[in-house]
Amino acid sequence: VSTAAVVTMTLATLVLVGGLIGSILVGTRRSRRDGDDRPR
Amino acid sequence: MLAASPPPRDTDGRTDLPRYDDTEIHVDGTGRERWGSRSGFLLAAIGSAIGLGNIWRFPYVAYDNGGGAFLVPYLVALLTAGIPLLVLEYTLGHRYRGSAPLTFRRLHRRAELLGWWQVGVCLLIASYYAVVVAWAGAYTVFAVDGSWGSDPDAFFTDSYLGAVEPGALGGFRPGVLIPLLLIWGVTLTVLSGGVRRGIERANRVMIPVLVLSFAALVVRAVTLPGAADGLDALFTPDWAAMTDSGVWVAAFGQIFFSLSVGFAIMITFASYLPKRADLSGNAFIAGFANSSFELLAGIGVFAALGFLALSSGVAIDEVATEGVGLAFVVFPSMISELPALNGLFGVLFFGSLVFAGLSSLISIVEAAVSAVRDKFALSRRRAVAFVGGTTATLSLLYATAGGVNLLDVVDNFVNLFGVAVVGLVEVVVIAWALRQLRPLQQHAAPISAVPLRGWWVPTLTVVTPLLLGIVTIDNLRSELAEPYATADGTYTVGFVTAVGWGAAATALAIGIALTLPRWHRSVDLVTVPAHEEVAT
Repeated sequence: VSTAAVVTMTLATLVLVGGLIGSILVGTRRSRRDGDDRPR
Repeated sequence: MLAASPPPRDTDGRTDLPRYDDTEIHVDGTGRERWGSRSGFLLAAIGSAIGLGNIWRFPYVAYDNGGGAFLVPYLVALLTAGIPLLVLEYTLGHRYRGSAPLTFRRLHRRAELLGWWQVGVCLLIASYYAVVVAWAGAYTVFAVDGSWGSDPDAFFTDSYLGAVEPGALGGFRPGVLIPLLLIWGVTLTVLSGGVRRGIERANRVMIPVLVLSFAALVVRAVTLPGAADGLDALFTPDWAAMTDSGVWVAAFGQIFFSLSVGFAIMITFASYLPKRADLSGNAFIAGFANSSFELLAGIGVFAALGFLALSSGVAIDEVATEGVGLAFVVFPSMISELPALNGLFGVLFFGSLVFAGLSSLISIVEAAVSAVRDKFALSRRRAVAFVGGTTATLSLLYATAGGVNLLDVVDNFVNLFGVAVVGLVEVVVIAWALRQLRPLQQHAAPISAVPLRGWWVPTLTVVTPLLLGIVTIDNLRSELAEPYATADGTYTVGFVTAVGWGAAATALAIGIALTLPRWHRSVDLVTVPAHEEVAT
């Protein structure tokens, strides 16, 4: 695979998966604080 | 503090209190179903967003629009249109606690049509989407022994679909009809189970299985000979493409069609959220999860295409395609070329399509079921039987020998001139005609983890409508310049006009027809029922 393709693929993965994990972490912290995710 | 005293009403039964301060005080006496947990809602929302388009549309759109460079406008589109629209629809559903028609009716008396128009789009999409899932189901079985043989194109078009000339229907195709009935059976059974025991439980199984199956496929694909060439073709950036407005239009179109926004689903799902719900956080998670899966699909699909190109001795651009052709012609060819475990990877691929499609189909039908329940105060089982029965009957058209032609044209027009137009109208009505973004932000901000102040309102007021408007105008201009698939003689202008424009008009006609009947007397159209802490 060319260097340009590897760099692009890596950056895209970091941004999208990083965005997903970051969103989950922010939401989880909030949920724990508020007790949103407990089974109802 | 205000819960004990009912609001004063005038003789028409209307409250004279401010509408944005009344969440806690008005109860219309109807309990609303509730997700069992936040993760249950998220899995259902992600399951709705991840559909067939993630697997068979995104990879080719990216490849055809600058490769790696496409990811820049794609990310911009996600952050300036996709996620803001998701936040908007989550907030609408959560604030007004209703299906799309009830939500828009509570927002403004004249906005109800917008909700039913979206439901009309849902019904049309569900009718053919179920058929594509049925094809994938049949191919999951075919994959076991490679039934498509050495010519997957002829197998799909002639042996399996028995395709006839556009305009003719021919008879039912048992190979399509039987899996179609099974798909409807599963869909309606899940929906009959309700939000928590049906939709949530099904997605808790389907989404993890889908992600794991597809991840296994991707691992296999990237270890095949020729995979590097495929990944090169997809990810090598053509930076010059960034100056092409068509690439930006494609990026916004991909994000918009991929996220299930603009057709009632996310509003409906958010209406089942509890009082404390992280609306913006959920939108970010669903948006990034959907795009991450698209990236995974891009890697898997192009690695596989690289292998197929190498083994066939052709260039990547000769095998690169999208949609039905990619899934049911190119992939079977690739699966046949695998050195080992062909059946297993065939089952994994088509099984992934079934799960991706089924989770989306369930959400599409639920948006209509919820709307009918709200308006006519029907039980869930009756609403599922009515909506599901009607849509399943309509879908039988596509199980005929001529169904594939109808499906192709209806899909193109309902997406371009149904989903996209109604989505644009939704944003313009809320942001400009009714000027409701500030009140909606005031509702969402206190319960959201990701701050909305400073970016959300300006984005939805200017950027999103402007770019969706450009996408819609571009679609219209392209269609008028060269009607869909008439240039190569596939269809006649008359067929495209009657079926395509007819379908787009039918969605609006369904919307108008369902707006006209009166709401059941038990439904309070003015006030919003309070969020209850006890699940229904």
